[in-house]
Amino acid sequence: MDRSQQTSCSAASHSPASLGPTKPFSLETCRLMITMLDRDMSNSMGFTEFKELWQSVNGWKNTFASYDRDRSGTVEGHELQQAFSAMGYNLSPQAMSIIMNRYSVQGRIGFDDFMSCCIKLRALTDQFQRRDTTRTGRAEFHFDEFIQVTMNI
Amino acid sequence: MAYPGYGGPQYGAPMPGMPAQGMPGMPGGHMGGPMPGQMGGQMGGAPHQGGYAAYGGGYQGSYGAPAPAAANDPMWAYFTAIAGQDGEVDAEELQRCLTQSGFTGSYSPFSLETCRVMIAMLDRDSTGKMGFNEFKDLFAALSGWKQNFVMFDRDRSGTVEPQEMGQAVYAMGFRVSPQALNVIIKRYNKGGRIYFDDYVACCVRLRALTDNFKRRDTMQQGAVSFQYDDFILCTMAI
Repeated sequence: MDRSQQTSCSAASHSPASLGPTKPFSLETCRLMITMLDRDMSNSMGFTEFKELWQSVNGWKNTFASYDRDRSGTVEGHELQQAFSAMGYNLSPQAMSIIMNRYSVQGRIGFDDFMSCCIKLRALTDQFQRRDTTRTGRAEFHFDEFIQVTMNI
Repeated sequence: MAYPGYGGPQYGAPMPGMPAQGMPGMPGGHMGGPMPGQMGGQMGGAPHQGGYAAYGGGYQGSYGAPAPAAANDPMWAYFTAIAGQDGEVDAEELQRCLTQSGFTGSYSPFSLETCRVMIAMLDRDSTGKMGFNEFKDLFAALSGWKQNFVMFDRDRSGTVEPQEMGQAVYAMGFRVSPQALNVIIKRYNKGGRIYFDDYVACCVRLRALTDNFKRRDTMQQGAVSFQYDDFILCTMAI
């Protein structure tokens, strides 16, 4: 499956019925999914990668559903913070506020954007941890690698 | 500090509306090193180069370019018509505003994602929306970037090729390694070419990320030691 077939992938399999009225994943989110798991840098996704993606997506879907208490298909800021906490991310209110600004529409985040957010958070955290070898919560980036890491997603 | 291998004049960021210094004479393939298209770059595997050259990016804090005459400029009319009571536009409104103004001309209108990124870039007061002054800054940057793009879109296809993208990025004053350029091209190309909308999204993010990095690199060493939360804060913002 290559990027040109992303749309069919997204529309077909990923609409989580339990979340009520939903839209298919945006092309942007599908692009992110491929980036996340495209370890062989082939720009396309094989079956093993797809299986791993599917498991991640299901995990995120369940997390989202458990915080979308009013079944609106969206979560609010404080719910998002709780969801991230549940996933193991411990972010400051300031970081959360910035994330909300970037990903929310009128104070709420839909599932597609939530997915987008989770994928980026995971990828960035992964890149950070690789450089935080002493596990002090600090990592050094030189400018060029910083650009590579951030422009990749 | 000059980026090794990319020495040469660090010309400052071109003023929007004006061609960058040295651009007319800039030879093709000035980038040095392997041309993009060789996808061999590895993330984090590049040797740490000694810092970076001009942060550049196509605009200074407030451009210095003369602000368009507000009252008479049709652009402001579009803005105020769409901004409504709070005088601010969100991503969707910005998209409408830019589309209706015909800014993109023969290029496709900006995607919603690109508009979100534009707002994020200039959202100084963290409202998630863009006010008049922020819009002015954006428009000046966009004009400069568009002019740059048009110069490289020689066949008027509405797209640039990977090498041209590299040249365009360089022309805006960014100094990145071939590996970084590979990452950028891989990220933003569609079918091997880069469309105006994606090019703008790329410029916006490059600029914002460079700004965020630079602000933390107080000693100008070309390296920053990030604390995790701050790293997430500045990379997830854009």
